[in-house]
Amino acid sequence: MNTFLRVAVIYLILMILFRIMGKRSLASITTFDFVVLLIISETTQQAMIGNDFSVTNALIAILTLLVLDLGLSFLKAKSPLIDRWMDSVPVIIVEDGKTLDDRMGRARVDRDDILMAARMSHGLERIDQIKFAVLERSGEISIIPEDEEK
Amino acid sequence: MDYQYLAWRLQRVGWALMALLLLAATLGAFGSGPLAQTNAGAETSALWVKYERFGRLEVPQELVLNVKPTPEQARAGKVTVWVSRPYADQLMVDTVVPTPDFLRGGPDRVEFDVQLTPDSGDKSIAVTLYVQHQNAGKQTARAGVAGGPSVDWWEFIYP
Repeated sequence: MNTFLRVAVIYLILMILFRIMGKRSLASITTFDFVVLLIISETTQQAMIGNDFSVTNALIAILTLLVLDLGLSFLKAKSPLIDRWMDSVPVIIVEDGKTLDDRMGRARVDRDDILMAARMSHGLERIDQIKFAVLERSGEISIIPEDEEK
Repeated sequence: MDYQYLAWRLQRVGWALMALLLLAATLGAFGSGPLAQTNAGAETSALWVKYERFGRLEVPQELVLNVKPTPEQARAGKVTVWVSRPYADQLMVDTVVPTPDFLRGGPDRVEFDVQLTPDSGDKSIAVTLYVQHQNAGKQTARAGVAGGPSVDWWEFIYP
């Protein structure tokens, strides 16, 4: 019971905290972000299993995580509202070659992020070559280039 | 997009709450800090207790019972201190300084005899218990000196 509660609470807290941090925190993994994630995983490990290092306890902890993940997947599938609040929605941040600065500011995305995604996915050089840039639920930026006839 | 704008606003509220939680933690609202450290009983009285109002489960803490022996206790060279049984039952006591001579368990209290040095006189002595709480939640406590005053306090132990 103790292990299940510890793991469940840690799982929910981490989910809420990362949701509050925003999409870009998970997508743009810099060295600093990587170090933070490593330290978080070490910090939560002890809180989840306490002083019980038995194989049984580890199994209970793993099962709890997997069942919670499965349960939340079912919930998201059943309820678009829960899905939206847990995983957010895609947001258009460039439309017809023009940046939507308000949305970019709120989502903490800058022109450099968009240009990097444009170069990596389609070899584009400028913002005006982009028809749509979408900040996806994962935090990545997907690019739809302008039609070539233009 | 209405949902997204609401989500962004809530996100900012969340960031502010996280910062406030961190500030509260630094100040000791979750243990180990000025907000947590406090006393029960007046420092001029025959018994006062220095403890942490906020603590965390299975984390080492200090509980200091400051006892001013009576002349009789000083002549006898020992003082008997007690802690309420429900409180003691949920404590794991790592060590007590000075080490008591005897520990006695009763239905409502746990007593221990502490020897006094010959030159202690009627000066206040500190009996320090190094403990770890085994139960989370609000813990009410009482400690006292046998035949003397007692002090009540409460602690909140975070899981």
